[in-house]
Amino acid sequence: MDKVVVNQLPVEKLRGQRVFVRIDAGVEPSSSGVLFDESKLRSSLPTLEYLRGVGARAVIGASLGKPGGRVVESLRLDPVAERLSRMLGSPVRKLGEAIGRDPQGAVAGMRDGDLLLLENLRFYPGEDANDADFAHELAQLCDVYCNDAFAIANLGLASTVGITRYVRPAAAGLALARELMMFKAALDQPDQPFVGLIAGARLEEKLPVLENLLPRLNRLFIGGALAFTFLEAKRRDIGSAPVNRALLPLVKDFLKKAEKEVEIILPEDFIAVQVDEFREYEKSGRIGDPPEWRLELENGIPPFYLPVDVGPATVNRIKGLFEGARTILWNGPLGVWEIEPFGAATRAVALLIVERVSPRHQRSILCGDSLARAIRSFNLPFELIRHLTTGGEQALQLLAGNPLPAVSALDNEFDLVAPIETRPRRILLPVDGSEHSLEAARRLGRLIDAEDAEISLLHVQKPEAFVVGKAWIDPDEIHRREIRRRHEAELVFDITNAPLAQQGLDVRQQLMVEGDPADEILRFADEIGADLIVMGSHGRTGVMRVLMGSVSRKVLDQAKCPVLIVRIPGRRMDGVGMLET
Amino acid sequence: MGAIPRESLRVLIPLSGVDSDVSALHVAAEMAPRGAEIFLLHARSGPDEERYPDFKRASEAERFEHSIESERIFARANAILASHGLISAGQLAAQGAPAEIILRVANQMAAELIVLAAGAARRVIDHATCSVLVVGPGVAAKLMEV
Repeated sequence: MDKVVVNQLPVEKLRGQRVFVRIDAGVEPSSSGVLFDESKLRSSLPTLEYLRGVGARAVIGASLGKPGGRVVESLRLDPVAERLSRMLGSPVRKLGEAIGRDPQGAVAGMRDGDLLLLENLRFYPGEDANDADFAHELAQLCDVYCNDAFAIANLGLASTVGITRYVRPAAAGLALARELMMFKAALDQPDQPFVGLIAGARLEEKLPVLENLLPRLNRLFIGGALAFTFLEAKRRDIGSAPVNRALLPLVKDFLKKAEKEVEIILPEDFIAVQVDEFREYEKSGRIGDPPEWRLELENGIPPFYLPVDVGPATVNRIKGLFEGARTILWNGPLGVWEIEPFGAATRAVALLIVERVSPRHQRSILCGDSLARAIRSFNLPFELIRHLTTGGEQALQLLAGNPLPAVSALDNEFDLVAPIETRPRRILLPVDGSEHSLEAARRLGRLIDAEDAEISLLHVQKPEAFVVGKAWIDPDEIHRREIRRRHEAELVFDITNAPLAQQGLDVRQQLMVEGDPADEILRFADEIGADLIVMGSHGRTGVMRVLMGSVSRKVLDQAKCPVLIVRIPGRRMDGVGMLET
Repeated sequence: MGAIPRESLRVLIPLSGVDSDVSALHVAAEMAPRGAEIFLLHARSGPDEERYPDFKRASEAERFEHSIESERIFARANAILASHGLISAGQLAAQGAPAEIILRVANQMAAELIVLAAGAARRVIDHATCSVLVVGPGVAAKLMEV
């Protein structure tokens, strides 16, 4: 479902309003200090510019490093504020805290178009835990929520998921919306021919992606370390290349199925090095010249040789695949690009995208953390690449067909047109004064969110058989019975109201009716449009030897709304013969 | 009556990967009190690995396929929870007789509430030692209308 994007909100919903913007600072701490990957910070600029332009008051939330829920001086966000100020050309005020009185005061003092950066959200343990109280505190700083951080969208954080429980509307920022649109274009109805280049390592992460993409692709190239297990499945000689034996049967199954549907292309030639020499080189920390390499052609890689990149014939084949393709998806580098000569194929294909694919308006989507790092290291004009995603893990999740929690948390476009009306929850609590019925009342506020709920108590009494033939009964006796019954009901309501009041819960109405308890409960639930029926597992007349009273059972089987069966904690139902009935 | 524990409420939502999971998740998320911890359990039918560890071990490839299936189910479940501002506090996949697994896990983790799709497991409703919120098929139909 399409999510609301911040620029779809009416401007009057933003002007003068406090908008919480979650961005990904995209900075990783290193031993030498804080490393900035400005591309992520830069991706949030359009949203921040937009908000400033419409006169919103942007309260920016971000995190840096893994401080583990406590303040780490070196991870304060002052350098982020400084960079943002410089990139935006207007001051971004940085606060020393993210929640509490200071931020509330600072936010209250903002003027239209102001930008304010909260302290590192991960200084608070509530952020990673999606803690409701922390999320609520953040929510108090804003009127509108906007998430622009694709690279953390797979995480359920207080600032990406929890906060949306308390702030509406919750919209996607421009960068996040663009990412989602690109993946939707590849997954929903890709322009065909659709070519996939899936490479890199970690077969276990890529197999679900391959499975999900299969019905959508026309041609699939499998490369990188991933390809070795596929080549092994095809009984090709791959020398000392590592193979995932455990998953080999699955790879064979996949190939058998896939080859019926799409054209599968595996690398044809390789750059290979002697495995011992390569290991020595790795051990030395990659100092000095890399081991000598040789080109291996179709006849396979000899023993004791390790493929480290694909060769020119394979690159040429990829070039051919790109010709005429309308959609190209590339994940993962083709070789060990970190060692200069072995990044040649990855670089050549990236260059193809820049020089041939992008100018021809073929859609290309490049994803994966290491591919993104590789492309940035090549010094290519990567801005020309139609789409280079900021999220690696997140992209894989989407490609595998899995939704991202932080995206699910946002409002749907549809909600903007027809907002779901909310009314207080209606809870029906049938009561009979029994221990179990009282327990239901006692634990109601603990087990569910009953705050502001409209609670109705219902006491059903069985009609007395002889009342049917009223004619010969003394009218005074009928009257006395009536009073007795009312009195009994009052008593039941009173003892039920006490524990409810203790939990701060209000009873809206209490009714006494005569009839079959289960039938009356079901009828009454329908009548008031109950959202929930709450009952003890047994009633007053219930036989404790059975696992559940007959009334509860019947209600459970026939109710049109959820039914909460409350049990007395720690009391087992086996051998309950000694319990009172 | 023992004192009501004050630590956060632990809610167990067993999943089977079918449509009725969806309504149970929506209802659980909507009704969960603030601060509740939601645990997801994917109970798969099959030989109980905990009880009979020697019984035909699944191959690594089979276990991988199972884990992918569970991950997918958890991802979808978390997306539903997230649409209510929540996320699971923990998730577990196990194989065996689903009702047995659910009861065992609920006990082990001291769950106070199990949220179940009706018809899913009468055994669980009958034998659970904690409270059970049952979401019937009628509720699923209502959610579809929305």
